[in-house]
Amino acid sequence: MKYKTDSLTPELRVASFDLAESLALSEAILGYTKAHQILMKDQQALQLIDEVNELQRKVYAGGSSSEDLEDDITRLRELQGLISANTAIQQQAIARETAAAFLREMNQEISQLIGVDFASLAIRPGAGC
Amino acid sequence: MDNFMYNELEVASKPVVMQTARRFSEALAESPQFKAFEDAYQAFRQDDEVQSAYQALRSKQESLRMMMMLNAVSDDERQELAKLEKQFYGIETVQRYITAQEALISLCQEVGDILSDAIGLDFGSACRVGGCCG
Repeated sequence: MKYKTDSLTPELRVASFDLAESLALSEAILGYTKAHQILMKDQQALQLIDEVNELQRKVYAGGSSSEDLEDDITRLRELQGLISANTAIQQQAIARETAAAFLREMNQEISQLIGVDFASLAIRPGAGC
Repeated sequence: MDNFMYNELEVASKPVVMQTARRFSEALAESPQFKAFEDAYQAFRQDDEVQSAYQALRSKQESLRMMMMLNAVSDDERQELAKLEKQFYGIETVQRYITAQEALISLCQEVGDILSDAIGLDFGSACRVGGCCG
């Protein structure tokens, strides 16, 4: 187990794992899982993403000459165009947003019942998708 | 999940997920940490000393907001602010509320880890308005 559950009562532990399982088996999450697996097997897509991330880091870090910066920005625009045209990347993004919308709906249900926004309590500082 | 097969029979319908979400909510609300937080929050809201100190602190913070952004707060004002903060955070009811809140957050983060691990997304981040980053 990659996480600790020491603070959870037995009832809460069972309920948490039940909720986790049902979320994982929901259509929205299954769709995201499938799209993500397809993306992870698409080497061209992964290379595109890596190159964009690296170039963005370089551009935001600064320190390049104005000529290099201009070349980098041009390349960044090209890459973003390629990303927009990449089916695996776009399908994963759509699936991820569908999954996020579903999770927000579930969070709203939970939050209304307990009187506090559950997700805002559950999020860890610096966490991302 | 290598060679994962999308089997329609395994899909959890929305009503089923909602039902597990409701049972989870009940279990969370019954947890010692949640009950302690509710009690501490009620005490926080009903304590006149706390509310008075809180209002004084908020008022001072608001009045200094612009100066703080410009890093132009005088030493006297800083000392006054520090004094108000000390008064507020020194009240036992406030300390109890903060402790209970931290315990509840820790509990919910543990649950969040369980959910995130199962779904392959960070639950808390995904639920933010605007969705995931990137």
